[in-house]
Parts: sequence; C-alpha cells; structure tokens
Amino acid sequence: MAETPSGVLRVDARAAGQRLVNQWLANIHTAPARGQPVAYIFVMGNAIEILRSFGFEMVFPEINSLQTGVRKAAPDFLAKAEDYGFSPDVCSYVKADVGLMLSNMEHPSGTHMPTPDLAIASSLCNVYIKWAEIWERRFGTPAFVLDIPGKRFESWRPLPGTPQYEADKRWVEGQLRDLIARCEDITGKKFDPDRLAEVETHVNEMVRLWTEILQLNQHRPAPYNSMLDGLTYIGVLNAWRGTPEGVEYMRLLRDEVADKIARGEGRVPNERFRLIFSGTPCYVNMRRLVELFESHGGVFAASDYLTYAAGGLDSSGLFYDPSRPLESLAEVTTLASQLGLSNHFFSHHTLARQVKEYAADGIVYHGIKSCRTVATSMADNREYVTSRYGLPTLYIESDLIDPRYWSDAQIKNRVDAFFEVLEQRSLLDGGQ
Amino acid sequence: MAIEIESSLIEILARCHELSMRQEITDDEADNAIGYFPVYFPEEIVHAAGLRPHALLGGGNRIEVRYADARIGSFVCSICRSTAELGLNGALSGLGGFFAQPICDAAKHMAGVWGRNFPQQNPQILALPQNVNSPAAVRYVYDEYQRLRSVLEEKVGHDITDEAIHASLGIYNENRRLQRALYTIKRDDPARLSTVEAYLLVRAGTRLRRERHNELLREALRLLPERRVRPMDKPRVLFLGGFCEQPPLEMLETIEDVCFIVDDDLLIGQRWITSDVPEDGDPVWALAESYIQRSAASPVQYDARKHKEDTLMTLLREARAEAAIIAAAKFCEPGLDDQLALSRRLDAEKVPYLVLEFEEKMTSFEQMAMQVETFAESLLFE
Amino acid sequence: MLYVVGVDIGSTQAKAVALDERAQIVGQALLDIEMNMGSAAQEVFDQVLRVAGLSESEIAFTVATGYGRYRVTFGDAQVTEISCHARGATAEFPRTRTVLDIGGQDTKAIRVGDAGEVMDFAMNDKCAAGTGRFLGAASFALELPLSDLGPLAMQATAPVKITTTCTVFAESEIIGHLAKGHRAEDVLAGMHYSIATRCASLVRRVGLTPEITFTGGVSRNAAMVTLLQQVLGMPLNVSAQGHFMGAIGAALYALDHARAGHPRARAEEVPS
Repeated sequence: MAETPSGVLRVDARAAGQRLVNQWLANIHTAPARGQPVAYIFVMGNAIEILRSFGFEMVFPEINSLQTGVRKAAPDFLAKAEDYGFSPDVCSYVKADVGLMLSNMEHPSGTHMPTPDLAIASSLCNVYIKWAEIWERRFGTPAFVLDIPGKRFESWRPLPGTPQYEADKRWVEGQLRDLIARCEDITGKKFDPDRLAEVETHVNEMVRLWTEILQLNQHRPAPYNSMLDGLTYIGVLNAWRGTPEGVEYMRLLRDEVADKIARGEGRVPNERFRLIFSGTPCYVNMRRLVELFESHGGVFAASDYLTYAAGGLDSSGLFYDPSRPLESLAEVTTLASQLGLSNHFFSHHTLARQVKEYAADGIVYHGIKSCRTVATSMADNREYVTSRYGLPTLYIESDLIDPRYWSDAQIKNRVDAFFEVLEQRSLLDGGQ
Repeated sequence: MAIEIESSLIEILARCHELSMRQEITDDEADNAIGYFPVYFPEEIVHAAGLRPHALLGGGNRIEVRYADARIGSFVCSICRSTAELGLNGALSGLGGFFAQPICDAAKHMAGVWGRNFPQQNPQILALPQNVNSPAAVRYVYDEYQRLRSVLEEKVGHDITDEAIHASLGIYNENRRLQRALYTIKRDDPARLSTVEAYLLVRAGTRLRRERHNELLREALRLLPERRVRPMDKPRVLFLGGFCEQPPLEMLETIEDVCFIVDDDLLIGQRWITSDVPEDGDPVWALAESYIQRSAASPVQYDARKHKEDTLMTLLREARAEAAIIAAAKFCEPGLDDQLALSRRLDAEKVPYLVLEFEEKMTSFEQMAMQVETFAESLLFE
Repeated sequence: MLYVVGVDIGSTQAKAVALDERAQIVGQALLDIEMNMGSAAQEVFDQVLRVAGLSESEIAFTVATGYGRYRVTFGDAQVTEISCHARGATAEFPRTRTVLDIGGQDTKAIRVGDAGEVMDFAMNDKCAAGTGRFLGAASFALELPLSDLGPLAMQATAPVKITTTCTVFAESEIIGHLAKGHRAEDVLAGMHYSIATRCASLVRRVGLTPEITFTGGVSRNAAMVTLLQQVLGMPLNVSAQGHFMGAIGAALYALDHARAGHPRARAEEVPS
C-alpha cells in the first residue's frame, strides 16, 4: 500500500501481483533442486486443486509462450521451431514452447524451466493434446488427457440430477480419480482430501472476488481495461489459484478497483465508448492494440478472454463444497466447462448479453491466425450478432505472439473506421 | 469373359463415383439424412432408427465458395470452409440432423456455425472422448451414445429398440468385413484393385443404405478375383493423411501412377472399428466398448496405447510397405503436428518417405506429380 | 465563397479534390508517389490549388484520408477511407446502401445506412488477390498497361479458370496458360472473374443490399463492372469520379467542418 500526498491509503495490487509472479517463477526455477514435483498444466481445465493438494509446482506453458511475445523473444523461438520442421500454420504458442525446448529450457524471464513429472492436457482445446504429445516425445512424460465434455449446443444447460449432467459428472470424476492415482505414483504420497478441501476453500474465495471484480467494471467509467490490466490480473490468479497468497492478492485487487470507483477514476480519462472484446490479446503488441482504442476514448469493459483465460474462475457463480471435495470438484469442473469454458463455439448470445450488462457500444472481434479455437467461426459469430442484434462490431486480426501477423497501419485503419461508425451512431442517436 | 468382368466392374465403379461425388440430399431422403462431420460416428444407432447416416466429407474440388469465406476464418482447413459452403448454398438443406465430433477445434466450431445458421437441423456435438484410457471411458461413451439414441428417438417419434440396433450391428459388421476384404486385396494383390477404386467403393457407402452398400461390395468382391490383371512393378507405399479432409481423386491417381498404395487411412472413419462389434448383450454398450477397445488410430484421437510413431511402424510392417507418404491437409493442426513427428521417426528408422501438403480443392497436380515421380524413382533405384 | 480540400494519400498514388461551398468540384489532382507520402501530399495539394486557381489561405478546411492520412502535415482532420468512400458514394448516388471500393492495395465493402453513415465494413487488406494488385500482376506478365486489361478481357470468348489464390503465383499461372496457347483475352477474363468472386465474397460479409455503388480506381475497368454485376446478380452504380471518391468524401467532410465554423488545425485565420 502506498500513501498519496493527501494521506489517503492507496491500494497497490500491481506491486503485490508482480512480487507474486516473480516468486512463482523463482519457485519453478528451484523446484527440481528442492525435490518438488513439477506439473505442466493448461489454463483451461487442469484440476489444479488436486495438484496443489499433492504439492506440485505448477508450470503453465501457455504463460511461458505468451511471455516470449511480451518480452519480444518470440521471433527467435518461432524461427527455431520452424527450422526444426514445424509448419508455419501450427499454433504459435506450441512453436514458442518448442523454441524454448530448443533453447535448453532457458526462458526469457530468466527462469530455467524444469521438465515435467506430470502433464495434464484437457480436451477444452484440442491443441493442448497435440502439445502434450510433443512433451511425451521430448521429455518422456506421459500425457494425462483430461476429457471434459463441453456444451453440445448453445442452449445446453446441464441441470444436476438430469441424466446428461450425471453422465458427464461421473466421467469427469472417474478421470479425476485416475489422476489422483497417477499423482500418488509420482509423489509417493497418499491423496489428502482435507488438503484438497483447504485448497478449494481458497478457490471459492477467489471465485467470489473475481466475479465481483468482473462486475465492478460495469461501472461507468470502467476502472480497468479488461484487455490490458485484466491480463496482468489473470497471470497472477492462474499461477496462485487455490492459495492464501492468491486470495490475498485478489482482495487487494478488488479493493483497488473499488477504490478507483469511489474516486471516480476510470481507466480511460475521457471514456467515450465502452466495448466488449472477443478473442485473445496480441501479446507481442499488447499495449499498442489497446492504445489504438484508448486513443479514441474506448475501453474494453469486458471480454470473454477473462472467462476462459482465467481458468473459468468466474465459473458462473459455482463454488466447491469442501465437505465433498472430490465430488464437488468434478461437479464444478463439468459445469464450468459447459457454462463458460467451452463457449468459444457458441458465444453469440453471451456476447450480446455482455453488451447489455456492461452498457457497451459494440463488440471487437480479434481473430488469431494460428488459433483455430478462437478464430474458426468468429466471422460467422460476428455476422449473427451484427444482423440479429444490430450491434456495431469490428473484426481485426493478428496473432497471439507472432509479430509477422501484426500490421499496424491496417489494424489502425480498421479501428479508426470503427470509431467513426460509433461516433456517427452516437450523433444520430443523440439527434433522435 | 474378362471383358464382361471388367465392364461390370466399370459400371459399379461409375455408380460409386457418382454417389461419392454427390453433395445434395435427394428429395426422397430429405430430413432422414443425418449429417455427421468426420471422423467416426456410430452409424448403427442412426441406421437402427430408420434414418440414413450422411458422412460430410467436404465439397471437393468442384465447389465454388461464395458464402463461406465471409463466415469461416482464413487459416482454417478447406473441409470446414466447403462444408459451411454446402450449408450456406442450400445443398444440405435436406439434412435432418447435424453432428460434429471433437476431433479438433475447427470441427467443434462447425457445430456453432450450424447452430447459428441451421438450427432447424438440431445441430450438436457428439462428445466422443479424447481420453480413451480411463476405466470409466466405456461407460461415458455408452451414456453419450444413449443420449444420441434419445435425440434420434425424439426425431422419429418412436423408440429405437435394442433389437433394431442389434440388427444394424449385424449389417455394419458385415460391411466392415467387406471393407477389410477390399483392403486385403489392395495389400496382397495391389495390381488387382487400385486405391482409387477401393476408395470409391468405400465412399459410395456414405450415400447408400448399408444393406445396399453390402450388396455392392459383395458384387465387386465376387468380380475382382476374376479380373484380368496386368503385373506391374511399383514401389509399395503407405499413405497417411486422409483421415478427415479428403485428397482429390486426381491426387491419388497421380500417386498411383508410380506407386502401389498398399494401405492408407483414407476415410478411416468408415472402418474405424477394426473387428466385429459383439452382437450379443447390450448393443449400445457393445458399440461403446468397441470404440474404446477395437478401433483404429488417427492424429485426432489421443490414445496412450497407440503411440503415433509406433503405430506408423506397425502399419508399415503389416502392409509390407517399403516407404510412406505422409500427407497433411493445409491448416490441419493435428495432421501437421503428427506429420513432423512421423517424419522424424522415419528418419531414425531409415524408411524412405515423402511429405505432402494438400487441399481438397486442388485442381492442378503438376508440381505434386513431379515430387511423387522423383520419390518413386528414388525407391526403384535403392 | 468557401472552399475546402480533401486529400487521399495511398501507398502508390496521391489524389486531391477541391470543392466550393455548393459541393461542386473546382479542381482535381493526381500523382504517383515517388518520394514519400508526406511530400507527395504537399505536392498534390499544391497542384489542386493551381488547377482550381486558389491560394492556400482561401481553403477553409482540409481533411486527409488514405493510409498516409497522418503524414499530411497540413491536414486539419483525418478520416478513414472507409467513411470517405461511403460519403462520396452516397453524395453521388443517394440510394447507395452498399459500397464496394477496389483500390490498388486493398478492397473494402461498406454497408451504409439511410443517412449515409457507415454501419459495417469488411476489408481485404492482407491478401492482394481480390485487389487491384492482382491485375497489376497480369499487367506485368502480359506486358500490357493496366488500362488495356479491361477492354481486352471484354473480348474473351472462353475465359480460363484461374485457380491460384496468391498474386505471387498469379504471374506464373498466367504465363503457363499463355504457353499452353490460351488467348490473353481469355486469361484476363479469368483473372477478372477471380477478383470479382473474391470481392463478391467481401460484399456478402456486410450484406448485399441494393443499391450497390462501385468506387475506387478499378471501377474504371468495364470488364470488372460487367463481371461484378453478373456475380452479384444486380446492377452497380459507377461514378465517373470513382478514382477520386476517397478524396471527394474527404472534401465533403471538410465542408461539414467548414460550415460548422471549425477552425483549421493551424493558427492561420480563414479570411471572411
């Protein structure tokens, strides 16, 4: 916390978050020396709660890869992977990770990434599984594929007690039991349900706080930009999910956001337009992308990225029941995937609803060249939303971390034109 | 006699070609055709409902894409684009259902596209598992198949009995046996049956009721041993990469000009179950258990028991192939990832191979012919 | 009398249009960009003033558009080409609801509302296929000036199907077809058709709502107009000023500013 000249205590979640990230990387770096087992996991679908109960150190290769973009090391890593033989069309996160493997696991953050004792790939993104197969070949670590059945269609709403829900939950629970057996083999420890319950209690609190933080941005002006500040938040909460430190950080964060609202401080000083963002960031041009919008007074009040890239932490208001830790883990994992995490394919109504909830003026779709999970039917989604809801939408594209797909002039042109549309609309609306 | 055999075969193959290339749903089968996107689908359950399973295999290289470019991203495989086109241009307006399987992320999106544009076809994902190694997997697949059953029961307005499914199992088991017989000929006597011919014979089944397909295959298998065959000396190769998006026929012809394709994964979904589904006991359980226990392999199905590289070596050995053609559809992430891994293994095992990238919509093959010819020559002069 | 200027700075050409307060064109200028966008902008601005017989101090407002709009140091405001083409097209054809602009570098489809406002747009700015550059490749391969391509294509009797989707390979495909004995007319018709179908696809992204107005440099190509009408299944409005539509739209925006009494970005006063 830092004092302002007026003597009012100001919350500084950013500093706390940075410390936590640094600590996490340091822990990863020293894990092998300390004899701590290491798990490679993905943001969407990972049973991190079980892994914490067994004392694994978590490595998120997705975060490693996005960091190569942020730290401008991506071109080198991507080139190494492509020289090795990977097609240019393969997911750039995968290629960056291959580049890391070909760079002796020396990550640009200064961390030496350890090899995994356990690798979990969920079916929420099929590329996760292909990625885990690469680790199998490289490290000899067998992949644990966690199959999480998602939504079958847009209006799929699983209700506890129904055959569909019970079947899916039973399947997830069965796999979690298999995972527990695997963890016992690897660590030599017995599964501790109390420890799992403890971890879940922390996650519950984080879910509560994250849901609140997401909702606070409905305020006008929006206290944070979901596609810039939001990115820092999820880095911390993913890495520290289920820990007291993670809870503490989120409390700080919530207080900081609430504080900004109390002071009437918006992320964008002269907020003119509020927008919903669908897609991933362009990590190699993270700030620039947001700046193009903020320079017109545009703020991203919400994004679907902060749902799925937060590991479904908003979970649509689902909480674990620590008195039945394993069963409720299966329940929440199943439900979270069906209500939020598998929504890429069916997000049209959700996005339109968010426009209402956040009093937004339009939706920005960011298509990613190497990510078919995000981009395959984005144009169709956009067409539906535009024609059915009459909402202004913008489509821009680049890549997660491959700078070759960022074309500043072209993107700026589209963004500028979009704001001209929004300005016109507000003039016309005002005139009515 | 030989002329008659040949002309009968030509007639059958011509019919198979017409069926294979047909995109529209005919009026008499409108609403009874249940479309499914690759790779595998438990057709028996659809068949038992009195409906016709309609495999969606893309638009080939004759379709003009006018609407789909506005809906499907640019770095996406052609089969997704052309399938969307077939939907948007009305060719598939006769479908009575649409299923996509979670083979890859693009395929899952097809369910989204269908849901927004053709909700009347009740599109959905059949959530086949990427984890087939858990003891709980058979039960899960069983439950998902039962869900499929109730969706179809609601559509047809009556129960799909176990007896009906048993009967369908019998027909499909026979169908798979007949397909295996074709592949045995391809492997043991490749001059007798070309891959293009076998391909058309198999693909025709996606447009026929299985009983009719069985008749057709039986007839072909009756004629084939009598066929006059010209002995040829061409290298024996394994072709992989045709598990989802289909290579154009001209591409297969180009390869067959200089090689025998003695085994392949073309339309592997049609023979995904590798031996008979048990015809006793709970038929849905038998189907589910077959998916887990007696199925083939592909880049889009994770299976800890079927290591990709080891499977490749086994296929090579069983087919007595001396080389491999490892193809991948453009923008196909699973195909491209495996292509590299398989190449590396072949390097290590010193097995000659050729890597190709293709698109279903290709129309010119000169460049590919040059690569394939050079490859075949190098094999002959080993 | 009030005068305004609109400048359109692309990557290869700079255009300028001067309007009087009745929105009548009093001067037009165009030049190829040789040095850089900034100096080309100044040059074309000076040229249009000369043509119109005006001095700089008589210009009440200048709006810059095109990719180089931020390099126009003397511009008072910047508006994207999307809005400018929409504005220009609607001014000339008031029932315009869709605009298709095929430029040398990119292609845009714009859906326009009742008040001429931009509702939605789709662009092809990454890939040259479907833009004027595709024709540039043909021009190079056939060693013919761009202006000859349209008329020649109109004389086709058996258009050749062009399968390549990449401008880089288009040249070799064209040469290949010519080597096989196909007539240049037929090859060109195939290329035009290829562009037309890609553009039609772009238009469908924003919705095919009549009336459609075709603008941009390529709108002067009669073969393109014919084929687009065929592929879209409806008639197109084509302006004689299609090439200058961006600059005209920019000038119309400048007129809005001038009428509203907005000051120029520079400190000089506008004489009354």
